[in-house]
Amino acid sequence: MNTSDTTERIEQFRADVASMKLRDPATGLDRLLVKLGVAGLVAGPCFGVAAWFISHGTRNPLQQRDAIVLGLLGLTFAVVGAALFVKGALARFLRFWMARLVYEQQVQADRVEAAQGNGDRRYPVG
Amino acid sequence: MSRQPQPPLVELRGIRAAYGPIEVLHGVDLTLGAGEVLAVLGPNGAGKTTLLNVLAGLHPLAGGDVLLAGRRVNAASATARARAGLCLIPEGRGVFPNLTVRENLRMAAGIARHRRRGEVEAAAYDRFPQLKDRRRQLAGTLSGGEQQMLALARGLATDPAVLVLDELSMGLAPLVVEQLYGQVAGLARAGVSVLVVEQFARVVMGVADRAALLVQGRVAAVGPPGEIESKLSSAYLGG
Repeated sequence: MNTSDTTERIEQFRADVASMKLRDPATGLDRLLVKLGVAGLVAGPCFGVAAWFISHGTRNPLQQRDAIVLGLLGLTFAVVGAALFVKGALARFLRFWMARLVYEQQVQADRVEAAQGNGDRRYPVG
Repeated sequence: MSRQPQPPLVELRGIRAAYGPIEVLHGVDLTLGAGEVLAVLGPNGAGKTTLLNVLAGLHPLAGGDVLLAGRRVNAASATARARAGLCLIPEGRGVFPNLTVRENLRMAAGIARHRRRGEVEAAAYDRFPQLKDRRRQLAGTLSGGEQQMLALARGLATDPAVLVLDELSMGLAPLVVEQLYGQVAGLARAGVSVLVVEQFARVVMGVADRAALLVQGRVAAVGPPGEIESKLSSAYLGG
């Protein structure tokens, strides 16, 4: 690597950092989505129960139709909320699972190395 | 017209980090210029590895700012920082133990800039000829020194602008350490900025341009290696 290569690499680094798309940490989009999911899961059934009481508390068909719309809205909130919650929770779980897998593989490799008693043995092929 | 002075490639401002309620870094300030080698020294538990993890984006900040090339990148993921050219070689084994040497290098080739798989492998074998002999061996069954060579070769395959090394010498024979630091010195001469953390200070002093002494999560001193070396005993022994 000569001087011009080095300078070029440093300039490239500066350019790459400058073009990084940074998420505002204050928004915490993932957490926000999980919170919205939980809110949807709570609000959905509440809307459903409210709709049931409204529809059974009146003989006016217009009000009963409003209650049906309210009930359907509640169902939508619950389904979307569940999807957001599962997405957020699963992503966290999968990250944890992957880290654990890597750790366990390292421990296993240590055991193999210790059992061999010699780090220079060849990997058995075929 | 005079040129604007360029900001350092890496700047850590008032870095604070914690594990749960326990704060381990209490406002660390450090800079790393282009092509500079900075050694961060300190006793066990001083917060050196945490500092590197914060820089690489692997540990959350409790306070302060991480700046790369003058830009605040607190919110950048570890992946984004690595793609830009910040390469962390972690303490101990940073290799995939259940993959062969060649497969480990191919993993690096996947993210290498403008380099083909063959070029990445050839460069690694050129730098560390021992790896060529062991290219079909599982990385987990290599000796400690060879694993560290593989980790270094894999990191270098990504053509880093800033190389961050954590305890390169840990558990290795002096000859291997000498060889590894020889490579680090070569990289520094080639213009790669290197931030290296070491508990055993003497091995890194010959390579570093500056050294910082980290004690109990605070920078106790920064300066030329010779100056810092004289303060090591009191820092390590608490005198």
